[in-house]
Amino acid sequence: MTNWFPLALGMDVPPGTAAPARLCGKEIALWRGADGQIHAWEDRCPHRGMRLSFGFVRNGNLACLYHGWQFGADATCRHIPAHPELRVPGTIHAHAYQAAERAGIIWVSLNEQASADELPNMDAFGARSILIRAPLASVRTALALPDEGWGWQEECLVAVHEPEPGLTMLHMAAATLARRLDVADRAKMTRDRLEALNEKVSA
Amino acid sequence: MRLRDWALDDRCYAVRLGASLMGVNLPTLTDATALKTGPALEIDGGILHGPADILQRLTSLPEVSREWHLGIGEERRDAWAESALERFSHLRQTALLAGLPTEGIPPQAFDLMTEIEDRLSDDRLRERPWVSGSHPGVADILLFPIAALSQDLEVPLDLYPAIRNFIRQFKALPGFMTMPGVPECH
Repeated sequence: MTNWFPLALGMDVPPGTAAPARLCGKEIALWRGADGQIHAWEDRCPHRGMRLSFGFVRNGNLACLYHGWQFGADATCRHIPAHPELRVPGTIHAHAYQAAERAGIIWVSLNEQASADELPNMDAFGARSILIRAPLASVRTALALPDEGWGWQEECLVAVHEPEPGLTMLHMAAATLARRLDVADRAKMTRDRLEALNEKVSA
Repeated sequence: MRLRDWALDDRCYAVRLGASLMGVNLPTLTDATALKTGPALEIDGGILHGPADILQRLTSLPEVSREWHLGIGEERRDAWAESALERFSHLRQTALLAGLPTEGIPPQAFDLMTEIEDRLSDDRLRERPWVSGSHPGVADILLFPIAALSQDLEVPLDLYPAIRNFIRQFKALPGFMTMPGVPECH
């Protein structure tokens, strides 16, 4: 059983922005403050359940789009605009997961005890996150990837995750900046090949 | 000059958005036929149809900055973007009028989003910041309604990072305007 899942390329969540991700249907908000630190939270505001990935990043906090509740990097609620004088109780907080950035990819673990030692330890540069309309298991088999869902192949990091059953996101990172275009082309060819194969199997 | 417009139509929105970004004062007349046939521009005693032709005409107005024209050697992608918007508009109207429960997201919606994502993603790696080149142009304006209103087809945007990036970048342009379903940038 793997602890860490590759959910996005680091470059797809620039500083000061939030982005949605899903892992087997579980909705996760990825966001990054101006300090560059990446965060992964349950994509649900504890106030009214709004998706936090629709929110905006201000002064190192993620603010919910609905009523503007602001959550700090430690996931606790820092400010409620409708009650500006209120000292917000520490019990109000978003649900945070472990997040790490390695080899140009954002990795998230739902297990609090997961060790970052399991993650790739080489440098790489994100080239492409690409949707493949085929189930994760068949993509993993076709790409000869281990259970962890990632591996180094021909100077490139190949990683996969399942946003929802039947769909797979393939993330590819190149060993050098100069090779990113080649790797992105490979990602497209891989997608086209695997989707054609999947259609053949379904037919 | 006047636009025959339907506020909730994506193709009409592209024209209103373009006029706003270019700083053109464009009065509108609500006309239900625009929902079927798209926007129509009354200009110089005639009528111009099709969002790409209308936007290109707007770029030639004297008050519009030359930046809205393509740079030297830049590939024109307006026809591709207009065809993408036409396909999207058809899919969106079908989705909005469909009885419930629906049969899920049509495969053509995924095909369209993939086509746009591939182009935006390649452009980004080639350091081409806009679909039209170094400055946003008609092709970008035509693509924006597709990206921003793709939620109406229930296409999840977590699957398309380059499109998300395009939406964010586009909303930050001076003169950006919203429509129902397209909120402002914060």
